[in-house]
Amino acid sequence: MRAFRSEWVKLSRRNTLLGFGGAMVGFALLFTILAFVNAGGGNVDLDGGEAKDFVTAAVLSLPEGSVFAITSVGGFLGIIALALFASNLAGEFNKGTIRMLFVTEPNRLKLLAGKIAALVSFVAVGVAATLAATIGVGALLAPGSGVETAAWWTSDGLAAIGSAYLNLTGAALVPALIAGTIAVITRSSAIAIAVGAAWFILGEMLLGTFWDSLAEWGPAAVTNALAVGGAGGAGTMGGAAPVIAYGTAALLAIGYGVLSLAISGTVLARRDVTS
Amino acid sequence: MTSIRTNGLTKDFGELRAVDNINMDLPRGGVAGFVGPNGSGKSTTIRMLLGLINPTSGEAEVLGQSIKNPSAYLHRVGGLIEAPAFYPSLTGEENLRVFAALGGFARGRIAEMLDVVGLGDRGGDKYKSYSLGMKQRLGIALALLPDPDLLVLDEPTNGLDPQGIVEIRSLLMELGASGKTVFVSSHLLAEIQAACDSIVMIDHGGVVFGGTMVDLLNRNSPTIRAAAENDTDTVRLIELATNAGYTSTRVNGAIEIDAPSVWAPDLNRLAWQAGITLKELQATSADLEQAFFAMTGNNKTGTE
Repeated sequence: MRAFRSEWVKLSRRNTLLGFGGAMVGFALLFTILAFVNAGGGNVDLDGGEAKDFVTAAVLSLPEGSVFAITSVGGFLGIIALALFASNLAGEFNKGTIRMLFVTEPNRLKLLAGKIAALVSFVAVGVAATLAATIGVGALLAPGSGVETAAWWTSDGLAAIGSAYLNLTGAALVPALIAGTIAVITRSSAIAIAVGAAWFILGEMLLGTFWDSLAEWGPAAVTNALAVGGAGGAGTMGGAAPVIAYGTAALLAIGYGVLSLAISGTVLARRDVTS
Repeated sequence: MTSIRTNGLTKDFGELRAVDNINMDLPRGGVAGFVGPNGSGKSTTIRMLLGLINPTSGEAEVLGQSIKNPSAYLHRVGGLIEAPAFYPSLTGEENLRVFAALGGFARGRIAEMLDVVGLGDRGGDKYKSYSLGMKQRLGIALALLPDPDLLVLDEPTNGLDPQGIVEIRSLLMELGASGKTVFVSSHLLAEIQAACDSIVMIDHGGVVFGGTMVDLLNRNSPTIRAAAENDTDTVRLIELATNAGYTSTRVNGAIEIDAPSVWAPDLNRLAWQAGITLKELQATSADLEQAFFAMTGNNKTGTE
């Protein structure tokens, strides 16, 4: 709990809030605006394919219409969360603050748990703020785009918002935890962000062209499946529709999270702090 | 009761033996210096005591607790390891708040410790705007935050101006006098000599001296220099020293006697009784620098 509170002293800084929180909200708003403009006849090609059929006023008028845009680009939230985790964890090594942290809290696993819990809560708050902002902006743009919002506030609509919140948070945390582990191992923000982002944006997709089964268990595939609610949902970030069932994606996400934490904890607890 | 006790403490980094079988016994209370040439193993030893690295072999206790379980004693220890490291975009006060929250220290101590180290009016400035001396002061404030029984400081006066060095020295001596133990390594041997009651000197990873400062200086004090008015009396002067149990060496017409400075009046009296007129009698107390070079066999200036 002390490590959690300590981490929040840093996370609650204006720069962090505006940097990472602003990026999450900003990206989401951009795609929300594009979706509503497209639905209103602006002909914006959101997914790189048949835009007019994909984002229509009718789709956005469904109970899940309020979160349609944000879930379609949920992968971006993961990239931002990835950068947050990597820069935070590797930054402690880069700045040399890790040794002062270890002297102040010698139980390294407690320290890691507190830091991760604080970062997870930051992402959870960020996703909530992002959802609130996109739904609010969507509601404002809806009349001009011919979108009916009455279904958004029904029980189905509210359930869709709740599901989207959980799914997007989970989807953001998979790349974040993996990048955090890379950061602990390499002690370099640049390497962790570069490797993590490259894998989640492009690497897994490219590798998937040679290795078909990757789409059924790869971390980027799991992230995308989770963000859109499993197989059958639209692909995120212009990618293909996921083939992983929701339950499988959730289990795999938990597996990646647990594995990442186990590796991070083991490395952190055993490693000498020499410089 | 000891504050730090090590028994055969050894650390290897691959083929390199950084710390070799260190044995020390540091009493509680007072200021103890830790000196040695570059690469002698001081920082590695301090890191082992603070639980940052694991020893290859040997054992150590800090405040009566094994270093295998740092959680048992580090809440009573304040540490500053090498250069202070903080979050550049946070203010000095915010930086201390991060660590106070982590360690469960009273927030009220933050302003108090900033005042103690002379940063009371700069705590609201960002750390990245601090000079090296201010960063060092903030590091010392952090080390003091838990109101520690043992303070382990690695080069605490780095970057401080002469005024700052005097202030920090006074602070350390005050803390030592109040019953806390201060274990401090420094490049500045004169500062160590001025501030410390006891000293641990290491070289090539091993302890070459551990004891009180007075013992060290006396052990390394061939410091009575005497010269007879008549050169022919020099041999008789040497005999007087030899008869008293001291060895002496001829140096440019004078002799240097390996004896404590308190023997100088006795020598003067003996020489007068023997009819020898002294044209020079100088009791010079050895300083830490001389002792350091004598014990480490290192004639270069500066230490780690």
